[in-house]
Amino acid sequence: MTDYEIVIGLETHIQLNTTTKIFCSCKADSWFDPPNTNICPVCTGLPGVLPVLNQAVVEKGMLLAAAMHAEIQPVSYFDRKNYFYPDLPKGFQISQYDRSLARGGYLDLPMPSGYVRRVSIHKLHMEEDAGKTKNAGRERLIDFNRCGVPLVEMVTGPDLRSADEAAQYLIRLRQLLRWIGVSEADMEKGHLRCDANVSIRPRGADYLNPKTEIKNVNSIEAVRDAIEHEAARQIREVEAGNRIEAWTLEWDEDAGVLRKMRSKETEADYRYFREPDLLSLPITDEWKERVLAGLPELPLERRARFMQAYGLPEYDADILTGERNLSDYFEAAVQAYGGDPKRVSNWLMNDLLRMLNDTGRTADQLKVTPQYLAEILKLVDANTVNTSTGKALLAKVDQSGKAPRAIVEEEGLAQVSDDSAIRAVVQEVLNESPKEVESYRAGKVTLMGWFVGQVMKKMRGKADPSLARGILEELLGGG
Amino acid sequence: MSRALLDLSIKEALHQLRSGEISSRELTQASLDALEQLEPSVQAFLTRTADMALRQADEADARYAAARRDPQAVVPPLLGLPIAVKDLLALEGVRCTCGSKILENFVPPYTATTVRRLLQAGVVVVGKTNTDEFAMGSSTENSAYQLTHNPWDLERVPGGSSGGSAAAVAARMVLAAMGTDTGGSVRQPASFCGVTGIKPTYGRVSRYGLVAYGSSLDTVGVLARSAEDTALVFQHMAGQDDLDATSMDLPVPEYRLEGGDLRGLRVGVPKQYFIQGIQPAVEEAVRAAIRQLELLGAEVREVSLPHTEYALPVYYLLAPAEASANLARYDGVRFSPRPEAENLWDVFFNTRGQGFGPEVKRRIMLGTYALSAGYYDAYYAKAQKVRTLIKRDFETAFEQVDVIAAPIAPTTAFRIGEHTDDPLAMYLEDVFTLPANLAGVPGLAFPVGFDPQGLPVGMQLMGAHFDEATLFRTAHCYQQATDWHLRKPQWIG
Amino acid sequence: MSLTLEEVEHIANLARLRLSDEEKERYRQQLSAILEYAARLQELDTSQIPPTSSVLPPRSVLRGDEPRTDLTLEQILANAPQSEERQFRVPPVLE
Repeated sequence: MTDYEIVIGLETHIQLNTTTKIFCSCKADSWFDPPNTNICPVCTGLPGVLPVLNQAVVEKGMLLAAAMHAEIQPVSYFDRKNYFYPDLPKGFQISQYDRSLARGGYLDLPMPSGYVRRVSIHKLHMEEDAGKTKNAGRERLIDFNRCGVPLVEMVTGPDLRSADEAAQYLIRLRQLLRWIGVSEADMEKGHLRCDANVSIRPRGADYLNPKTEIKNVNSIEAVRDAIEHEAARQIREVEAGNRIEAWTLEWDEDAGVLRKMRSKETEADYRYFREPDLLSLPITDEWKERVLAGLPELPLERRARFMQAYGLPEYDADILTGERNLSDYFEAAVQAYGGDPKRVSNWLMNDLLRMLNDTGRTADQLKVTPQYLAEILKLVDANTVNTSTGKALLAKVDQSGKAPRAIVEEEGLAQVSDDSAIRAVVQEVLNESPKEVESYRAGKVTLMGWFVGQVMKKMRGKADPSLARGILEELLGGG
Repeated sequence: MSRALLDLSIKEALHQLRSGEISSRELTQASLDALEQLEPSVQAFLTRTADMALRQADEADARYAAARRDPQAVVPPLLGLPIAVKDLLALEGVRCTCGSKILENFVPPYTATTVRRLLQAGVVVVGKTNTDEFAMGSSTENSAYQLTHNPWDLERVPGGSSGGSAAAVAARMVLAAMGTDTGGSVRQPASFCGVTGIKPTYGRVSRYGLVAYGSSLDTVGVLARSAEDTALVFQHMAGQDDLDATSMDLPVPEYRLEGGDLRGLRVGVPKQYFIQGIQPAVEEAVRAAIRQLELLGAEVREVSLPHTEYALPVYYLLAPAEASANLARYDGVRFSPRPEAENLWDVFFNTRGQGFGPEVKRRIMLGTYALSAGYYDAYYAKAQKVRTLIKRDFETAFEQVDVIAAPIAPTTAFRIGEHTDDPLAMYLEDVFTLPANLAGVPGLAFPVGFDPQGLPVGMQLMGAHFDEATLFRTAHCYQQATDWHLRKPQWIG
Repeated sequence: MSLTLEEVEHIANLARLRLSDEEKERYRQQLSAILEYAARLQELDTSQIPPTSSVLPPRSVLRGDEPRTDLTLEQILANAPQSEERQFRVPPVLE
């Protein structure tokens, strides 16, 4: 039985989050708008109109190219890709063919089992989106809102070796796009669309076999499922002695099956030629420098730095570089705190992240700022409040926006560390719970936690729990 | 008859409008009356916009009146002037057919930048003129709607594709008409109709609102009865436009056409343009005109544009290639009459099969072929390289001379129907005009004589990029010393 | 350079032009003649010559990212041969 390896290449279309479309001043985001409301003569391809390039599109393209470690070209060109479809009003799409914005590039995928898959980028170019066709009974309705929305198309080399890797690519890409702020990359809204090219070969072979193309898979799970199904199908076919044909397939998510698509044009002849309505696009070093100055430290770079400089474990570093606001928050908190970054990390990952998820916010929207978090940690470190009070302070600061110290004072939350005060309460608890005292002295030492809890309850959480425990142990006789 | 008003030059008409000697309404009404009377024979217009024109005329008159009361008032420079607009240029709310059935009902929701600028300058638009379908043709016979007749001989073509505009000016129905020139479509009809017309430098004038044919070649121009009049209108059309990325941001000079002579001007005569096959009367008139330029003080010398003979095959590969893409939008989805179709592909095939005329289909197919897989290198790519050679020919020549004087067409106006069965023969009419479009240089056409049948002969002056000023000045000087441009077809009266 | 009927049909298909048999033959002849004439470009050595796709020099012509509501929406829809619920209507693709 042959051992096969799966060879996957991914083609993604990324919707840039500029305010206007690529070649006209219509609003680019039509998600909440009725059909055909963000249109104009240019994006509906009326006779006599001309495209004019949106500067923000080029600049976001440049950021993306740099984040993918690709070489931004000093001159690039637009080309017409000619084909007929009702949602393509001009009968051609303005794209970039052989002299696109950037060349080369790669994306590294750290995989859970510890290795890193480097995925090469073969194509990175700008183009305009087409409209949307909707089936309505026997007929089809066309909405041109999406026409002219700016896209970056990226094509990887056949470098992925499993459905999981393909999923990772999309996860990392989505993270990166949001991180550098060029796209919202919400697959459900179509901001990130993916086609997968799949083939198989005997493990160790270096040639490529015919591939099939799986089009328009709309979620990361769907990409994983579709690729797994297709790889399995190809293996079955090959084992049965059949050849793999270069089909185009679509994934039916509900039914969990792949379907062969009608081939639109047997071999589409796009008759690419230089777009005469747009001049060639020179990108000077000055312009490039200016734009790339806005490129932040990238997620994987920061992840490595967090592990190295802050000594964080990979798990923490991953979460803390998953999303930019959270990551920036963490770093600011560490700077403000000055103590062990792992401590900041724990509080962030356990408590603050939950708060964010519950309220659907990002870290920059918290009223408990990094500085306030640092203050809370220092209060706990200094034993001014105990840990559970400290955690409760998070919510209080977030609600009121007031400084932690101010709240501690106002509400009298300072920890009680006075031996005699605690001792008195401990004595009370012991007096009130003779049965438990007896159990404890008989050997049920797990009751200590309960005793501490009772003391904390009576002292409204303000007791220094370690002091309380110490006194309890003393009075109970060590157990 | 108020027809005499239409004999006024634009310069003179504006003067009289300003002084109140004539009103725009009178002038516009004269124009509309001329249309009534002459259109049955000439057929230059596809759409008349009489109501709009009279409204614009009245508005113009009100503004003039107000200005006469207030000497500080600034009046738009072309206020009240009746012009025609070629039906390839969008004018909001007015049907724009491009000479094609596929746009039979198309009403553009916007106005072309050049038209908008002239409207802002105060013109009155009396109608849209006939054109070869999508500007593809050299006789206006390819219009899907009607034949336009040359006012000098109604059995003959007015030239094309701006035949309607040229005829409208020659027949003195309007004082100026907008045209377009992709391969000679302003200059050749100007020559056939004995009027003056400018093809600007590519990039001098906005193409926004000009229905595209050959995007790297298309220009918007204007026709009138003299260089001076042409310049007066052109002045307000030219200039960079934010809606057209191929319009250059160079300032538009003031085209001052002072009198004087041509001393210091170096005129080049390209030997490749005086070949066998030119009608003798054409060559004679053009050479006489060149001698006239010499008499006016110009220095004339021979120049060489060695790749001239290749302009035709280059053009007839590049222009159709661009057109095949530009015309792909006519698919029956968003505009166009849509024949019955069961099936989406039928919508496309039937709309286009029925809506386009034979010349358009021919060029679409030629262009599609030149771009198609396996043929791109030998045809399209090759043509683009030869285009570089043609452009360099001009750049070299303009190192030695300031303008190049040449014939516009090998013949005077031919008979209607003469070339219909032979597309290649029709294409050969364009040999002298195509090079300027390929090189992007400006060309000014003006009448320099008549042939024995009384048909006009035109000459063109081609200039360096963005040097329309020298062309206007030279032609103006010529027109001060000659009177070909003042002649009028006798039956017009 | 003579085109075959199949080639003419292929091009007409690429260009979505429905042609009658008579048209196909006529265009076959006419296009062949034109392409024959165009073949003379092969006489020229252009191996060292760059192509001209625009006579204008390269230039960054860029637009700002400010939105403008177009006022022509209704007019654009008004030109449609068939429409429904603000959308352009076309028949389905049939096999």
